[in-house]
Amino acid sequence: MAYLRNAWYVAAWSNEIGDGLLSRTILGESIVFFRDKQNDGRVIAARNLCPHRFAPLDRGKLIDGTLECAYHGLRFNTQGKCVFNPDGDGRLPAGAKLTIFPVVERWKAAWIWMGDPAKADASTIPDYPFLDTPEWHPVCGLLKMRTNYRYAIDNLLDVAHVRMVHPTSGIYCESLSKGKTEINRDPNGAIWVKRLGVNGAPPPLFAGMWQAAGFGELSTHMDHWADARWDAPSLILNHVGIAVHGQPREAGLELRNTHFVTPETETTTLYFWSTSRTFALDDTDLDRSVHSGTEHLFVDEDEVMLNAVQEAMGDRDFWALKPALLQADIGPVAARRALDKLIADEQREVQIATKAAISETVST
Amino acid sequence: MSAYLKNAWYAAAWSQEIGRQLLKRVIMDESILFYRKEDGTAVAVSNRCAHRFAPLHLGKLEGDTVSCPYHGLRYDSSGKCVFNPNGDQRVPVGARIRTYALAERSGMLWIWPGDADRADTALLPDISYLEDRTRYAPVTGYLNVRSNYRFILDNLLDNAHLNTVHHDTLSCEPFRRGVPHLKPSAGNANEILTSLICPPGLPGAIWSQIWAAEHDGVAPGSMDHWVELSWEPGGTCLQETGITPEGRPRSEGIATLNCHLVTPETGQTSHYFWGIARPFQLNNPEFDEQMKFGANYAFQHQDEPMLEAIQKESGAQDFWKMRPALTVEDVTLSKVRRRMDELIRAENATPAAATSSTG
Repeated sequence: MAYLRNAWYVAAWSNEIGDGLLSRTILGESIVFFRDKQNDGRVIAARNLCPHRFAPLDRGKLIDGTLECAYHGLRFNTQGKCVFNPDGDGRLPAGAKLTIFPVVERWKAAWIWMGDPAKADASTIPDYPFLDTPEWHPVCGLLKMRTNYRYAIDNLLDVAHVRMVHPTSGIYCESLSKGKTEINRDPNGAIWVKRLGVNGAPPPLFAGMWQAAGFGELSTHMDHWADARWDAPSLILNHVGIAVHGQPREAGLELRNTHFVTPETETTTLYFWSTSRTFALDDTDLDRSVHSGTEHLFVDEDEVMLNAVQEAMGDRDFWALKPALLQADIGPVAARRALDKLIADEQREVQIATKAAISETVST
Repeated sequence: MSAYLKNAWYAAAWSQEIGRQLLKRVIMDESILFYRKEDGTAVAVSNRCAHRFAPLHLGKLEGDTVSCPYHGLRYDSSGKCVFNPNGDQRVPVGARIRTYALAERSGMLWIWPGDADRADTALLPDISYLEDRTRYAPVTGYLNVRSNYRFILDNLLDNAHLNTVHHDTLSCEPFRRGVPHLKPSAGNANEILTSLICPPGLPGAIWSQIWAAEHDGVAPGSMDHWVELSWEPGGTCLQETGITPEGRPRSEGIATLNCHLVTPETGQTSHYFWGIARPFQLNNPEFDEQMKFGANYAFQHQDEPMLEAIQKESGAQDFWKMRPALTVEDVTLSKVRRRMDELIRAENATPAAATSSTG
């Protein structure tokens, strides 16, 4: 199955890229990341493969702003040009050009563009301002899942699995599970998947937060919403909150969560998660419990199931198996179809471009 | 084209393996879920939930229904989705999982992976001796073999490897000189029968031990050996093998009835169920243990490594396209391979079979 290449994927949280070299596999390609110290520390992403004899460059080091290969000592600048050869006559080999990928740092993350660099437009990265503003406090993490990224997206847009997969982790809500999933679309193609639980006990997880936010004891007459926005290719934003039944959402408490899902290989996925709050901003104990609680949900519960689905499915095509669908699946299905279409359009474009290039070559 | 003959009975599990727990077993690349209903009837359904394809064996058995661990959909033993705990609780259209025809007989659960309408219990292989405790003492076992099922059948139908692979257990001059003779089939038109005719001589280590145990420690002299083999489509291989003093009727000798039931798991792995029934040393648990030990030694430490090595060497290549150099001992296995090829071709040419195989 092809990936959408002309799209922004999160490659790393900003604080993961420091003085050294960070390598990471994205869309099946090994990439090495580092900061260009002579240029405000902006992030550079290069193919992790020396064009000479294909040694992985993450074994090398940074010297005077260039990346030195550990095998024969060729050095590359941040444009990917080979600028130094310590061997023999010191001549720079023709064709020693290292591929550089467009990278943008935004919302405390490094975003990579794996497609046509001419099309990379940073303004198409969706907005997640709460990740980078003093009014909000984010807790972030990175997990690796042994599943295809599309099962991870399905799972994030689907509230129906919570009853079974997370029954005792404090996020199941009876009133929400009785609700109905609704979807609507933004003009830019983003899809909102929304569900509301009315006048019931909220998920137990909220009790501590409700107190930490200064609201006192939690009532059992609460409204609970779980809204998700999917942006291509695999970016999910959650607005999750509770308010006293009948009161406006602004009078309650809302978390903003992001789930940036990046395909590593066909069967493994990098999962960048964050959860942001507007209360108890300096509470490091709360940070720790959010971190461990979230990892428990994802690692011990979701990941186990998604890995089992991956193993059960192998490389079979999702639609070819004719899945039976629940009401709650309108969200994941809408996102799947939208991504299918984007991938199909991109593949068609590539084919047309290839044909044009071939006919041009033939005619000249 | 499917590489499997689906319209035939295959060993799925020994009866005692199936109970009130969920067992997953892959057969012909399909993940299948086995369990028993409250009344004891065995059930086989697809292990893949029709909703979002989670494996059902990680779920729960509740009464006669199985609930999916992912979203809690529940399926009855006919494969129908009967409960959805979510939202409006409506059961989704098309939520149905495939079921498989089963038959339980002689301590074995048999599965018919093809078209259930064609599953005919009259075609079940006869291994009733495994249950006849008045006449036989049986030992049975299971091995997962990292080799395609057809290499295992080749091996079972071939006496020539006894002298090399089983050099310290079964090897003997009579087997080395033995020649297989095809016989006309008796009942099932698709079965293939063969007799191994051997010159008389001293038996191998295992038969010598058995003979001595039965004859107050007196070692056997020159003996007549026999192996009567039958193969039935797709993975059933039944044997009677024994020794008797040279020139004496078989009734004066000793023999065992062996069954080898081979079921494809994937293209490169197989389920191998074996049973050996002996009409001597009845009610001797120590002898049972020795037989079991000997059989495991032969299958697991001698045959399996060779079969795995053959699998690795040949990968997914077609047997005939590799142009095997065949010897006279290979007459049975090449006949079985060709019969199997014909049956698979015929099955793939039948539209009904093709449809059910995609189930």
